[in-house]
Amino acid sequence: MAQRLANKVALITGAGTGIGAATAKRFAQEGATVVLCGRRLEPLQAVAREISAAGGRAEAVALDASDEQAFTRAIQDAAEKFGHLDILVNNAYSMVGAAIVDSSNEDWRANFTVSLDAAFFGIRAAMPLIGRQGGAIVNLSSVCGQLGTPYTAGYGAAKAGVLSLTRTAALEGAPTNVRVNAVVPGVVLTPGSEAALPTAEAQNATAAGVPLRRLGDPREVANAILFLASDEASYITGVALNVDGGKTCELPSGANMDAFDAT
Amino acid sequence: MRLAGKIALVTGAGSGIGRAIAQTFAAEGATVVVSDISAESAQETLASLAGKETCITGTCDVSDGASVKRLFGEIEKQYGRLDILVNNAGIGQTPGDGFDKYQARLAQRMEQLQRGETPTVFGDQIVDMTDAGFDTVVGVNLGGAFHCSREAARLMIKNGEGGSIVNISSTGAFSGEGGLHYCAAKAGILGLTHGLAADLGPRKIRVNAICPGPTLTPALLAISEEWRQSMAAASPLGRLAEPEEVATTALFLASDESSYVTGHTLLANGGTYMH
Ligand SMILES: NC(=O)c1ccc[n+]([C@@H]2O[C@H](COP(=O)([O-])OP(=O)(O)OC[C@H]3O[C@@H](n4cnc5c(N)ncnc54)[C@H](O)[C@@H]3O)[C@@H](O)[C@H]2O)c1
Repeated sequence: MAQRLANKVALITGAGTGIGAATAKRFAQEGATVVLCGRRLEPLQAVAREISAAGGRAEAVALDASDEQAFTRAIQDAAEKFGHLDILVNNAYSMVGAAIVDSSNEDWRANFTVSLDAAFFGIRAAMPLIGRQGGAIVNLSSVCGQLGTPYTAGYGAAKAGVLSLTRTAALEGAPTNVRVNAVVPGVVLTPGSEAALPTAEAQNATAAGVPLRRLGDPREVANAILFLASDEASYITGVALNVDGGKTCELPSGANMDAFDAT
Repeated sequence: MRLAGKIALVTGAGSGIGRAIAQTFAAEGATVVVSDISAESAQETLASLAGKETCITGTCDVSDGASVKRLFGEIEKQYGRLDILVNNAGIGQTPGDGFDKYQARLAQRMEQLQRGETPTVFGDQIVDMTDAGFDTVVGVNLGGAFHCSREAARLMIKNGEGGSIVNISSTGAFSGEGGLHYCAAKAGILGLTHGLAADLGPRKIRVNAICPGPTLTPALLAISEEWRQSMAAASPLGRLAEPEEVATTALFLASDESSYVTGHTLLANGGTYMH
């Protein structure tokens, strides 16, 4: 089978854990050279070693994606070192969850610096480079950006912002064949969501509210990101692809008796 | 191969997008049931498939529940199961639906505009739309998806291993471009998709929709080059879709790579419409 990202160079932020790490491994399997970015070098190196051990190509670059200069430089370095940049995945985020009435200005703003600001920095720096030959940008949003979810006002607003940024960037990237899309995960078991759902009971109750009756696996989100990043999605731009087990097509209106029983 | 061992039914597989989907699925290892109202065109598609020795054609009018039941009877007899259904059969208009009168008026209006006159002619599509025309277009596009989804769900439930249903809707469901009957039917398909996904999710049956934009199928190849170019120019990507690009999108939704995607409407329109 031909590899679906053969000869592509991809840069992924937040690649040390969760969805970002799963995406890096999936991309490498499909032949991409992957530049892993994140704040802590150690988990990035662990993922890079795993990729190399499996015969793939990966490089770890420690940086904070909300640091405009460092992130911009890493994008330019990747394009220079490997000759071209084809794919950017804006996956890193940071979140301060609290009720609105308990949130400080700083809490609110902290939600935007990585999810939204870094995505903007990344798109701005990568669009002209990817536009040299065409390629794809995939931004990670969240169902919190589509549905109202309590205690995530800033996070949800940032992730809704990512959807709008995606659509605008899609229009600006189209003339140079840079496709820009978003993936919208539901509840996916990663270190981040496990902190919010620490017990089996909490996870089961959440799963009961999802039509597929289970939580997502990071590898399932990675597959969706792979699809959008690959030429198989060559006529898709500006979309929000939900990977949420059906969460957004079944609202908690009481029709789902499983969810009713579980709460 | 991403669909190895899977049995897939593609309706309207004798032409355009349906044919490309059948070819893509077969190349990925699926056994494809190539179904169309036209036996001849279904045969042509079958002849073009990789691994065709395992595939069959089934002539079926999806708007007729009894015809769909017969097709599923054959599928059950032949394979005993179904893993993937693509509800692709569709029509944009039908003789006697009044759509031609609307198009004639639009042409008149365009002439008036080109002459620099204030136009006095309007589209007024619904004024001439006939009951029979409306029912036929809704009956094929939406009724067909309903009939096939029902039989597929029965088979998939019986088999107990889940499955994937992919409904081909259209950007017209949102943009309102095209016939009112067609847009209504295609929007109806999205409601059907949501309802089925929520209900069948616990059965591990995933149900999703694709909204293609203008795609280079026989209908679009039949219009004038000038018109086609203006449609391409209206797309941010600056071109129309190839049927194969809709087919790779259907492959993603049909395969296990979309295992956590259900109830979703995936736009594949080059950025023409976004939401
Ligand atoms: N081509 C486009 O630009 C475009 C855009 C958006 C959506 N779509 C949708 O994609 C699907 C395929 O479109 P296409 O462009 O390939 O069309 P097409 O006309 O080339 O092919 C449609 C096929 O469906 C078959 N069919 C028609 N009525 C049927 C019935 N009652 N029972 C069984 N089969 C029947 C036809 O015989 C034909 O083979 C349709 O649902 C269409 O609405 C197409």
